[in-house]
Amino acid sequence: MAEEFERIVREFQDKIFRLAYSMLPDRASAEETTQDVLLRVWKGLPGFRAESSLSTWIYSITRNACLTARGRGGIHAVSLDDPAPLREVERRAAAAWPSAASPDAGALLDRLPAKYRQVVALFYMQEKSYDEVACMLGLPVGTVKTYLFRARKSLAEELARERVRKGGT
Amino acid sequence: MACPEFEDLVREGPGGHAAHCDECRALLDALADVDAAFEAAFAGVAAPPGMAAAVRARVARELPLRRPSPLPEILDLIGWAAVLALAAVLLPRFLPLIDAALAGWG
Repeated sequence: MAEEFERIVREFQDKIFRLAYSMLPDRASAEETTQDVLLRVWKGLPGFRAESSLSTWIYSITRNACLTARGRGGIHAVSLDDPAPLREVERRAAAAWPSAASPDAGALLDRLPAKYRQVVALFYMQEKSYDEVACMLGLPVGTVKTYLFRARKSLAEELARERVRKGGT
Repeated sequence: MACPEFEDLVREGPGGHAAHCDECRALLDALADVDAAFEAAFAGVAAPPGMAAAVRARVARELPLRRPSPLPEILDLIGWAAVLALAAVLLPRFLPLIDAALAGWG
């Protein structure tokens, strides 16, 4: 079992972290939750039956752990409708975008409805894999594609309008 | 010429309708910039390098691997011993009957 667990840690630690990072307010919370998830996987592995795929099982544990973490005192609670999730990511994104003429990823993300935000962030974290994002969020692939399409369209239109308004770039 | 739907515009790319329409070209440029901004912000986000070691340490501390219980093997052994003992007790009683039945057929 130890070898199997090592393989799971190697294969899933980044994916679990990304999913947690997209659901929790900061990196530290995501790191702590990732460890909790892997511990739960270790505990649950002997009883795991292949009724669902391993990844489905692990992502389900991760989503539940994130929801628990949100409600826990130690981690600042945020709801899906709260624009606070991803704010550290947004700050990093803003910092990584020095030119005022270029769109600010954090500000763009902030303009999206909450249900699109997590899908967009995970999509770019997961090397643009619709299937992986759908599996991670427990959503149909079609829903992920629709959310992404609407989000990108709305942001592109808004940005284009803003540029026309400002008369530049 | 009427501008295509956003989906068609994206599919055609900058060489299609957008090549002759400033508004659509601006929209495609904006989309490319949105994608680039998200790519820069989110691509490469990964667990910290020490994650695996931290998890191993927590597993060792909080959930040491329990040695498998010998109970199933012991019960298995007791079960087989009981079956053999029962056979040893009952077989001598039934042997004459079996002999008689075989002789009757012979």
